[in-house]
Amino acid sequence: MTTSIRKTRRSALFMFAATLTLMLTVSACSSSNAGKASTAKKVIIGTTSVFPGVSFLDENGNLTGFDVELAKELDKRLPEYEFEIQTMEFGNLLLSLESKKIDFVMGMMSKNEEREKKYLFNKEPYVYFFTRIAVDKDNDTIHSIEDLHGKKLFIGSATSNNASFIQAYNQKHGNPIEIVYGSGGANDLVQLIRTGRVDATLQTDFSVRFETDEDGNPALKLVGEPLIADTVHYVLRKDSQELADKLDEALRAVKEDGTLAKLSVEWLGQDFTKSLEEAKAR
Amino acid sequence: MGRRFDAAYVLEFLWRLLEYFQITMYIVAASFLLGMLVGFLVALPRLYRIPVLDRCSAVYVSFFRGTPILIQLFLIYFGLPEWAGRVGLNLDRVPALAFVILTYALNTGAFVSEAIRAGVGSVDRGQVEAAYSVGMSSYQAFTRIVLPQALAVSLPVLANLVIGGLKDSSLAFTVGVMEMTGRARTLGVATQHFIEAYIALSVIYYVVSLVLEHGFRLLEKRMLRYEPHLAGRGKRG
Repeated sequence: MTTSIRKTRRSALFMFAATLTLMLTVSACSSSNAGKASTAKKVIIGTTSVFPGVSFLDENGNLTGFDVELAKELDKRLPEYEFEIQTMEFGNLLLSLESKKIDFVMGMMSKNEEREKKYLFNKEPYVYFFTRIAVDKDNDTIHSIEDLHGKKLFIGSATSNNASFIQAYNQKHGNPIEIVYGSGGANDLVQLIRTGRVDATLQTDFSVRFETDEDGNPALKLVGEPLIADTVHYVLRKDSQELADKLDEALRAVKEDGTLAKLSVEWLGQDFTKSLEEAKAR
Repeated sequence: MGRRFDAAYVLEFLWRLLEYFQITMYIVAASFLLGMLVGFLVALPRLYRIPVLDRCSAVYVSFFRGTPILIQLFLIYFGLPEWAGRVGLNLDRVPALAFVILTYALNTGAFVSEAIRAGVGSVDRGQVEAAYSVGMSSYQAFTRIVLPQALAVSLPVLANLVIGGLKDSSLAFTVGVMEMTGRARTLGVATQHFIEAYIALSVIYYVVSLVLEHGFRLLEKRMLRYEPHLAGRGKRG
């Protein structure tokens, strides 16, 4: 009797191990194919899934937004590549790029000196935006970066361009601004500002409207001069020049036929895809 | 800021979150089963006092118990491919899920090995002697007599590890694996109803914990049916 129990236990263990291996193999092999030529090179794009309007999961769980739809559009124009989008925490994007888990990063990434040293940016910018200070819509005391001295400024991610900018500013002026960093997923920015836990944050023209109160009305306003005039690019590894050039080619195509401007109006509320010179020329 | 609380969303989110229930349970089950295997292998050198390997086991247990699981996850997710690259193994396109299960298995394994050591230690030496006296080999004595009793005693600890594993699965989202907690966050972002999403999430986790707890309690009663005093009921001898 004991022998048969041992046999059952052993075969049960074997079944577990077999099922496990099978499930792991299946999950490793599952990938969606959009019916492209099997010779298309797979390119993995890294982005976040919690950036409203830009890269987020809609209610049905589908990844969408400006960056995502633009990537799909570029994918159509580049038959030699097949794009696959992988989402992760913002802070892990650049590290994943370095460790070759992804081939390029999209996520409204701005060019800055620090990043240019380590990574490759493609030449064509696809969004132009200004970063300004955002405060509670009833706040009349803060109008410029000097007014932030002695105050608390919220910075969503320590790896963002905003963080680099403010850190550099602090270094030059003797640390007058207290930076409060966001943590993973538990930031209720509007709540933080209303309760006074932070006094202000940095926002762009296209993302400030997503900061709403309980009734869905905009809760913040932008004040002061633009602090950073940014161009948005894709970030690649230094060894990916060919991919960068191909992306530039495709970006020029979508700019020319107006698709880029259309996407911008649809997802960001306005056409943010032209530089000042281009906007004046049209 | 989140939109005004609307309890109707809690119910809707429950269904949406349950779409990812399968993957959460897969992470928990796979990592626990692998962890049991790892824990067992790690405990053996220390139980039999094999010279070099028992020191290795001790260091392994110490490290995996003593560092935060999130850090272990990053170390393995980012560090292992680099290390593997040096010996010529390309792990670039291995799915993040595999790294998550590997990390949790190694982590759980450390705790399991301690539970097994404690369980085996609790079995009276007389049991082993009695086994030898009826002609069993040491392998038979261990697998047929000692191990069943040891597992029965360790069961509450192992149950804790499974329930703990359920909660650790919520960290998988940081390396891009979409499971229930990750989905709750993205639902919050999409609808601005964060609190409702987290309430629905907590309800699911709690109900699953209760079911697991109940299951383990039944299993414990069955395994200790000849020693009811250890299960907390019945009288001694």
